[in-house]
Amino acid sequence: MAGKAALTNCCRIFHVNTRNISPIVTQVRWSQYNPHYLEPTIDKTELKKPLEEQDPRRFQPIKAIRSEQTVALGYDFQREKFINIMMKQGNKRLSREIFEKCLENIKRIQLQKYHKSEENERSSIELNPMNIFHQAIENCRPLLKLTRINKGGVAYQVPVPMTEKNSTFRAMKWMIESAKAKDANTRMYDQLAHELINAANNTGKSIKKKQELHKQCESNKAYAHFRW
Amino acid sequence: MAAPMQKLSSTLFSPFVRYIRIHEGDARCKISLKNAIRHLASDSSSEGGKETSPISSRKAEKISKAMKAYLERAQKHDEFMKSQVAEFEIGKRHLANIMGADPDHFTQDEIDTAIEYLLPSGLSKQSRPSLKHPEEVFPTKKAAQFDVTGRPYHPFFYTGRPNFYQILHEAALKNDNLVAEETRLRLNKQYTLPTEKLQIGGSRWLTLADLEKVTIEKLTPLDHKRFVSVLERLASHPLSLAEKEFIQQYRQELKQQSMLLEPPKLLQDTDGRHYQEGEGTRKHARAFVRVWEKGTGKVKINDQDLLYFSELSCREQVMFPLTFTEMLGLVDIEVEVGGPGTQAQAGAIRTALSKALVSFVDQPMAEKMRLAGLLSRDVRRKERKKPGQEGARAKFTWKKR
Repeated sequence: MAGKAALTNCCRIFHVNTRNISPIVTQVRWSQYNPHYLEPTIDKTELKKPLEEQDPRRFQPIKAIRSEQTVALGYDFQREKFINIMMKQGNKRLSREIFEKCLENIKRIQLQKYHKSEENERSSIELNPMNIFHQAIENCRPLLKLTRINKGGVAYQVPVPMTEKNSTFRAMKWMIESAKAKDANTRMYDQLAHELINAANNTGKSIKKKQELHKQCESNKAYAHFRW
Repeated sequence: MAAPMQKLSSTLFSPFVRYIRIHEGDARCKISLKNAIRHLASDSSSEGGKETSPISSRKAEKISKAMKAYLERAQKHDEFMKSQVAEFEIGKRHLANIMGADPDHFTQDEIDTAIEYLLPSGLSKQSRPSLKHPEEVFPTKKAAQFDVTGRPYHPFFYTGRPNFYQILHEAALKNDNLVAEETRLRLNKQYTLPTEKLQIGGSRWLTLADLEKVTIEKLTPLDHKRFVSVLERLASHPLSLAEKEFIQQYRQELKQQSMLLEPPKLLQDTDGRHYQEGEGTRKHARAFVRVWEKGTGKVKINDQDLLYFSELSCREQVMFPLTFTEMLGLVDIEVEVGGPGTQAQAGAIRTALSKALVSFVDQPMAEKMRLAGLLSRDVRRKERKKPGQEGARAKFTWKKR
C-alpha cells in the first residue's frame, strides 16, 4: 500500500519536474554580477520610504549605480535611449553633445515664439524642451506594424499590434532618420530641434511616416487574420 | 507455542511447495526440497524460538555482488583515508618543527599562516598550496545504500539521487496536503486568509554547493532550479506556516547588509581639522580621495580643478555623491586618480568619494547611499573577444564561398 503511494507520488514529482523544465532557458546575455545582487533604487521618492521588515534589499547586496544614472537633474530613461540610438561608432560624447545642443535650440525657438506671441496665447506655449521631447515621442509612436507571414507559398504583409517598447524605438528611429535627411550645410542639432518641435505639434516628416504606416496597415487589414 | 509454530512452518514451506509443483521431476528441485525439509526439521528441533533464522541465515551466506563490490570499495577508501590522515599528522608535526612551535598543539590557523609564510604565492586562492585535514579535502562518501542481498533501502534508489528526490518528494507531498487542507476549509466555509504568514525574507535557499553537501549527491544547476521552484511553491502557500520547520531546513540565514557597513572614524591632521579617506576602483582606474570637513566646496583632482574632466557627464558623476548627500559646498575634496579612461576614472572617484562621505553622514543617509548603489564597486568589465568571431558577440560577415 505504502509502496503504491510512493510510486504515485514519485510520478507526481516527475510531473512537477517536466512542468518546470520547459521555462528554464539558459541566458545568452549573462550578468557580471552574482545573481544574489539587486538593482539599485534610483528614484528619490522611493528612497524616502522606510524599508519593510522582510525587504530583500535589507539582506542582499546592491549593484553599483551606472554612470549614466548619476545625473544631477535626475535620470531619464528615454533621454538615454535616444542618445544611444543616435550614437555612431560608440561615440557617446558626440551623441550627447548633439542632444544637449538640440534641447538648447528648442528652448531658444520656443522663447522666440513666446516673446512674439500676444499675452493671451503665451500660456499655451511649452517652454520646457524635455516636455517637448517626450510629447514628440508620444505623438510619433505607431500602433501597428507590418510583418511578413508566409501562408501557402504567398508572403502577406500582416498588420500586427506593437509593444510599447518597440513603438518607442520606432518613433525615435524615425525622428533621427528624418533629422539626418538634410542638406550638408545644416547641422544635425538644428534639424533635430525643428523635427522634435514639429512632432510635438503633430506635423513633420516622422509623423508622416507614422501615418503612412498606419495607412498601409489599413489597406492590408484583410490579412489581419493570418496572424494566427 | 504450538499454534504459531505450525502457522510459520506452513508459510515457510509454501514457496518450496510451489517450486516443486512447477518443476516436478527435476533432480535439482528434489535436492532443494530435501535440503529445505532438513533445514526446517533441524530448525524446529534445535533453535525453536528463533523462527525466522533458517532462510535469512541461508541468504546471509550468499552476499550479493553489489555488496561485495561495496565492501571492497569501502575498505579501500578506509585504508586510503587512514594513510592520508597519517601523512597529514606527520606533515603537520614537520611544519610545526620548522616554525619552532609545539607540534602537539599546532592548530589549522597556524598551519595556514605557516604555509603562507613559507610558500608565498600570487596565485588565485584555490590554486595556492594548502594543508588541510583529509576529511575536509576528500568528499564524504555514502554508507551502503543496500542490504547484503543487494536490495536497496531507499524507494528512490534507482533515481540515482535518492536524497535529492526525497526532498522534492516531501515538499510536493506537503504542498498537496496544504492544498487539500485549504479546499477542506473552503468547503466547510471556515477558510479565512491567515493573518500570520511564513516570513522568509531574511534568508535564502541553499546554494547548489550547500545542497550537494546536504544530500551527499552530485547535482546540476538545473536540479537546483527545480529544488528552488518546488520549495518556493510550498513556501508561497498561504498556509505554509504549518511547514515552517521543514522549509527552514533548506534556508540559509542572511546578515543585515546595513550592519556590515560600519563607517570608519574621522581622522585628524596636524591643524586639528577632521578628514576622511576613501579608495575606489572602476575597470582599471583607481582613485584615492581625501574629504575635509568645514570646507567651502573646493575640488582638486590631480592638482587641477573639476575641469580635469572635459566631459560634462564625468563631472556630474564625480559630484553625484555630494549632491545625493546634500554636502555640496560643505566639504573640500582632494583626489589622486590614475588609470585608463575618463569615464572609468570618474567612476573610481565616485566610489572613493562615497566611501569617504559615509563617515560624515548619519546612519539613514548611509543606508540610502547603499540602496542607491553608491557604495558598491562596479564589477562590469569589457567582455573578451572570442576566437572565430569579430568581437565579443559580433560574428564575421557570412560568405558563401
